[in-house]
Amino acid sequence: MSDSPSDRVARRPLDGPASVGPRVRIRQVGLVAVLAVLTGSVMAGTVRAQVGSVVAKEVVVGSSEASLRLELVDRDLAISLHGGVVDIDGREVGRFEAGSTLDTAWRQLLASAVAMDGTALVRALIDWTPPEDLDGPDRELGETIDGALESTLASSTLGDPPRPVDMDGELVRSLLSRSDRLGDLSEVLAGADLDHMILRIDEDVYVAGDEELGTTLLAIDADVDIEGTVRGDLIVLGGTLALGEGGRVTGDVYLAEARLLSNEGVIEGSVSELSSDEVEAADEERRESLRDEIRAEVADQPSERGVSWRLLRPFRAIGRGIGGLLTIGVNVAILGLLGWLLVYFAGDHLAVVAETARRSPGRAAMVGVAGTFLVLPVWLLGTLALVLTIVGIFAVPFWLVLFPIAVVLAACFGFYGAASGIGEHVARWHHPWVQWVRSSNPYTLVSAGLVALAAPFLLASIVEMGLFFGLIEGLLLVAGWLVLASAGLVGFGAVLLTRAGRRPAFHWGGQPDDDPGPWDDGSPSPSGRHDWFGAEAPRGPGEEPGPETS
Amino acid sequence: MGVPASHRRMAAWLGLATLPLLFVARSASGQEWQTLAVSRHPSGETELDVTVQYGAGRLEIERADQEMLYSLRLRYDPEAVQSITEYEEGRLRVGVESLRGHHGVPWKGSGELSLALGPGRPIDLTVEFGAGDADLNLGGLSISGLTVRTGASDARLDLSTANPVPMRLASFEVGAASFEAHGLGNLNAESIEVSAGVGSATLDFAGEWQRDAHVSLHMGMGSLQLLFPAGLGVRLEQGGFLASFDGEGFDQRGDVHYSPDWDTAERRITVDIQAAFGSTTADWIR
Repeated sequence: MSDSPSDRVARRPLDGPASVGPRVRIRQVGLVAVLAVLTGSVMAGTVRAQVGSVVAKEVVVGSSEASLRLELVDRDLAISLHGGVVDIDGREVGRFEAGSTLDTAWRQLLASAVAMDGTALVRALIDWTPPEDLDGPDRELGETIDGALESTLASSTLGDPPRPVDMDGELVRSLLSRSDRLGDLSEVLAGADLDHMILRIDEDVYVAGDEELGTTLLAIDADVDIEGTVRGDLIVLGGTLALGEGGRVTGDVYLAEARLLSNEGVIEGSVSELSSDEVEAADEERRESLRDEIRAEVADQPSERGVSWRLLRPFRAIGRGIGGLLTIGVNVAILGLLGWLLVYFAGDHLAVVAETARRSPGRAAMVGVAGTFLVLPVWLLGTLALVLTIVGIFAVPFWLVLFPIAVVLAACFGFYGAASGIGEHVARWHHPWVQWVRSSNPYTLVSAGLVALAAPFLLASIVEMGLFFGLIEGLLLVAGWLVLASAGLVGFGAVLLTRAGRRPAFHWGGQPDDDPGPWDDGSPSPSGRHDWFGAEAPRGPGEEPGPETS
Repeated sequence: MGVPASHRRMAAWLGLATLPLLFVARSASGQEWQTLAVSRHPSGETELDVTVQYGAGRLEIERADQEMLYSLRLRYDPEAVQSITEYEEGRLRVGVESLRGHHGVPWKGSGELSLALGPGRPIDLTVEFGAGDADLNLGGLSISGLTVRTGASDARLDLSTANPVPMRLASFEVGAASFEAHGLGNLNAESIEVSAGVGSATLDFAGEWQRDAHVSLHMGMGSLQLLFPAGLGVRLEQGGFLASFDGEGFDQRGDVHYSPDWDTAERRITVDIQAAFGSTTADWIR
């Protein structure tokens, strides 16, 4: 202990509360009040009226609003920055610009206040001052807000006496600035007997071997040397504890930011240590997480250049919409290239599938649905059949792999067939916008069909640019997926009906006329057109013949 | 003159189609999240009646760290929903409700409600939760009544410590998805009712049983897993249509399953299960 800097304060034996000087006594009351509130001890009843005078807190932080409402025992306080207007207790006191220095500073205060309660909240609000670089009306507005906070809170919460801010000691100030830290401290001290205790602040404590304290001892920023007996708990907040030979503590020992230098005596109770670093790190991590979250929420809010954030909103929406359009465009282009390859290598078969899907969509859809449901049973039964035949066991691995691949290829083939069928409908629209789509050109049919299938998604992206309901965007997306699924089923069914386009007789044989299907527009039978194979397709008025393709 | 008639018709059609939407349009700039933090110190309340109504998002309920009456933090889209924080004379109602006229998609995004309740006074808690994730950590609280209603959600209830106040009824109405309850023995409830629609439910009856209790389980379609602590007397009876029961370590007497120590157990619970379709499994926690 002699090495301790605190030794500059003369040690003296403790003689109980009566020996405490007036200045220290006031600080004792203040500290005990704070601790009592925090620990919920018996003394809290009288103190709760102080700190507890802030009965309720409400903080709102959003892109358009940053407001604080405090409910105190004797009055309320409401400060709101909302819609360019600053209100205090419902009265407009000025106007502000979103993203201004004042707005930002106020939001930062509220972001901290979200995680605070009690004394820490009050302290943070009282300590808040307008930024130094404010000037003009914003300066006055900031000072008005500051004045409202201080006048309300100082009188209602930290009035006289006691006033914890007067307490000496960096530790106590540190504690008072962190509500969560105090909460943890309160847990540590929850079991301590705080009703009757001796308090020492910035005064070293020495209990001689022949001395005995009859109550709890709380020492703050002090070095404690016990060679006698403490009949109660011993709490050291900051400083050191040396329990010499013959020293005895009948209760528990609590150490917060304090070190146990030696323990040659007897501690009949338990020893609890509160590591400030650990607690502070955890608290700070939690608080920082919360701050980050709120910052992220209001990140779009302020612009130091004074550009109104709301003005930028439509551009952001337009940007998202254009991004969506580009994405869909790229997807359609890729699918279109694959479709062209399909036309190039299997154009004949694709034409049959497309015509089947176009003229008998209902039948094709039913077959597609049935085929989809039967895929798994067929796969399993096929495997079983191969196994049962013994000889076919060698083919089982091929069946297991190739059958699913065949199904996927059939589905893709059918999808492109359905797209071509839709393209054929587009070609018959005879609208100037779709003049490039020609029945005689299967490449344009596939492309037009893909664009038509993507149309709901394109519209959804356009809707996203603004002015419309999110609900409509959602409906369009749902419709888009339904159309895609329907096209897939119809195409898959058409593939099954035509044996992957190898059975043109399904249509060419006259069945289409017997079953024109709901999309049939009464056009000549495919058997009379053979559009993809060089025959002249029906054209609109003034429509030029398209290039022939193979 | 230079514009084809078809183009003019198309422009007119588009204009007519979009005109009605312009009147009821709203900004499509996306959701604007707002954070609301509310806390209140106790002022002589001897009990607390809490109702939580939360449609979609993430819900957390736990014990308050400090001596607070309650503390909540709500993250929500003010253009879609309106926050609810009503407190008056020991009655607290929190949550969100949809704004009238809002036609957007309310479930889009990730709202969040965290509610911390102060210990030290009996709490009658009612939770109505729609869709999303819910974590109800009620350990350390004094619960005098508990009603939980969930929709299509993943809900988890945890009671890590014994409830110091007795409860007449704890009721859980679960719609779809999953529901897990751990530490039901700590509820200190006279009766526990669980009604589950579709999905899975796990009920862990571990904890400090302070009284005998009756448990009533209604399951529509799905799986039900029951976990009992060793030493607890259990009488289990299942009825229903196309529902199976799989329980090890039970003595079957007629249609009723008994734990081996049923006759000598200090605490007993009777479990009635009505399940339409699905399976029920019962295991012992060793």
